[in-house]
Amino acid sequence: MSRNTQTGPGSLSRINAAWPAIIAPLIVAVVLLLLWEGTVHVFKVPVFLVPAPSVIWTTLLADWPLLSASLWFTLGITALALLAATALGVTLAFLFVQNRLIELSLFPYAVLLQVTPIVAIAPLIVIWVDNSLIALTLCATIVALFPIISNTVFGLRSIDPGLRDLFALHHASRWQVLWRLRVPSALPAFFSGLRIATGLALIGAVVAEFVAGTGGTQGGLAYQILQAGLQLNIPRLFAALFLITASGVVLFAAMTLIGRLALKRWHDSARD
Amino acid sequence: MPPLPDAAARNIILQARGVSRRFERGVVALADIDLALHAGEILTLLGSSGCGKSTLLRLFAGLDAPSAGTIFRDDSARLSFVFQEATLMPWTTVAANVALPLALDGIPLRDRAARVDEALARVGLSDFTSAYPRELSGGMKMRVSIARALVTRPTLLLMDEPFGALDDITRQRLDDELLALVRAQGLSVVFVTHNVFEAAYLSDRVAVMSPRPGRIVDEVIIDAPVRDAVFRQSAQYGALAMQLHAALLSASEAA
Repeated sequence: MSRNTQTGPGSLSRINAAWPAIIAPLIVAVVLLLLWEGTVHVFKVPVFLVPAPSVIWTTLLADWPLLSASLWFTLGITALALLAATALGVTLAFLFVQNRLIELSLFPYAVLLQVTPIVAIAPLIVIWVDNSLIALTLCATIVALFPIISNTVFGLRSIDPGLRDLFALHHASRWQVLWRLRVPSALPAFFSGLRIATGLALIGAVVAEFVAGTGGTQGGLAYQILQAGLQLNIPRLFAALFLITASGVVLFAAMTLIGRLALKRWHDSARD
Repeated sequence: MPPLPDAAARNIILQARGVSRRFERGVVALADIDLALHAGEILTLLGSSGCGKSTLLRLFAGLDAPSAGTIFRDDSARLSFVFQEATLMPWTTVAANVALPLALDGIPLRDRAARVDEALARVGLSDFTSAYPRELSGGMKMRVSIARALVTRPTLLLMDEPFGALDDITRQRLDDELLALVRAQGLSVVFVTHNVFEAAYLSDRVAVMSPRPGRIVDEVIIDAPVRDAVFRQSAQYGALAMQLHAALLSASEAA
C-alpha cells in the first residue's frame, strides 16, 4: 500500500494502461496460434493447404538466406520510394502553397494518380522502364506520393490566424512566413502523412512486383510468394507473407517513433 | 461629420474619421466611426460580441482597410498588437516566442537576448525562458504574449480581448499588471472587451458600441486617478460598471 502511494497514482495508472495494450493482443495471438496449430494437427490438414505455425517458423529459419535477400530487396524499394515520394511530395506541397495557379493546375493530376489503381498502371511502367529496380520504385512512389502532398499542403495551410496577423504586422517576407511559420506548423500533419505513406510504399513495392511477375533475376518478397505458389511450397509462401506483414508493422512503429521524437516537446499527438 | 478634435493640441495618436467597413455579401461591420486615441490614454472599445470592435481594432492596426473613411496613425507611434488568444508558436520556447518580433524586424541575434530578458522580466516570467508554451497556464501564456508585444518597445498597444479566456482572479491580476506597465512606460492603449467591470477598471475612456452595424453610441470618461483594490470596492467603480452595463444594454436593444 505504501509502495503504491510512493509511485504516485499518475505513473501507476499509466503503467496499468500500457500493459493491457501490449499483453491483451499478445494473448489473442498466442491463443489463435495454438488453435491454428491444434486444428491442423487434429484434422490432419495437408501442409500444402494450411501449414501449422510451427512448420512456417522452421521454414522461415531454414529458408532464411533466400528470404532475407528478398526481404532486403523489398525493404530497399520501399525506402527508395519513400525518399522519392517525400522529396517530390514536399516540393510539390511547397509550390502549391506558394502559388495558387500551380496548385489549381497540378492538384487534379495528383488526385488522378491517387485514384488510378497501381495494378492498372504497373504493367505499363514495367514495359516502359527497363531497369526493374527503377520500375518497382516508381510504382511504389506513385502510391506513396499522395498522402505526403495532401497532408503537407494541409499542414502548411494550418497556421494560427493570430500568428499570421503578427507576421503581417511585422511585414514578414514570404520566405519568413514559410520558414518560421508554415513549415513548423506543418510538421504534425507531415509526419502523419509520412506514416501513411510508409505503409503504402511497402504495399506499392509488393504489388508492383506481383504485376512485374517473376521475370527479374533479383526478387523481392512478392517474387518469393509467386514462386512458392507455383511450386506449392505453401510454408515458404506463409513465411514470406509473415515477413511482409512484420515489415509493415515495424516500419509503422519506426515512423511513429520518429514523429514523436520530432514533436515531443510541443505537440499533443506526441504525448502518450 | 462631427467636428474633429484638434489633433495638434490634444496629441492624437490614432484616429478614425467617418470609418465604415462593409464585408462581402453586404454585411456592414462598422458604420460612421469617429474616434480618437490621445497619447498616454487607455481607450476601451466595449460591446457585445459581433459589434465590430475587433474589426475596428484591426483597422487601427492596418491589418484591414476601411471601406469608407480614413484611419490616421501618428508616424512616430510604434505599434504592438495583443491577440484574443496567446497565439504563441507551440514548437519553440518562451524566449524564442518573445524574440519573434525582433527576428522579423531583422534585429541581429546578439541584440535580441537582452531585450527578451527585459520584456520577460516586466511580466514576471524570467524563470521560464526555456519552457514551452504547453507547459504554461493560460495566464502565463498571456503574459508571454504581452512580453512579445513589449519586446519591440512600443508606444501604442492594441489589445483584442486579451484576457477574455481567463478566470476572474487571473484576469484581475493581469489587469493590474497591465495598468502598472502602461503607466510606467507611458503607453497609449486601445483595449477591446465585452466585460463592463474590466472596462470600468482599466479605462480612461470607454467607447460603447452597438452591433449590426457597429456604431459608437456612447462615450464614458472614467475619472479615477488610482486603480487598485480599494477602487474595486468603491461605490464609484460599482456605479461606473452599472452605467456601462446600462449603456451596453440600450445599445443592443436599439440594434
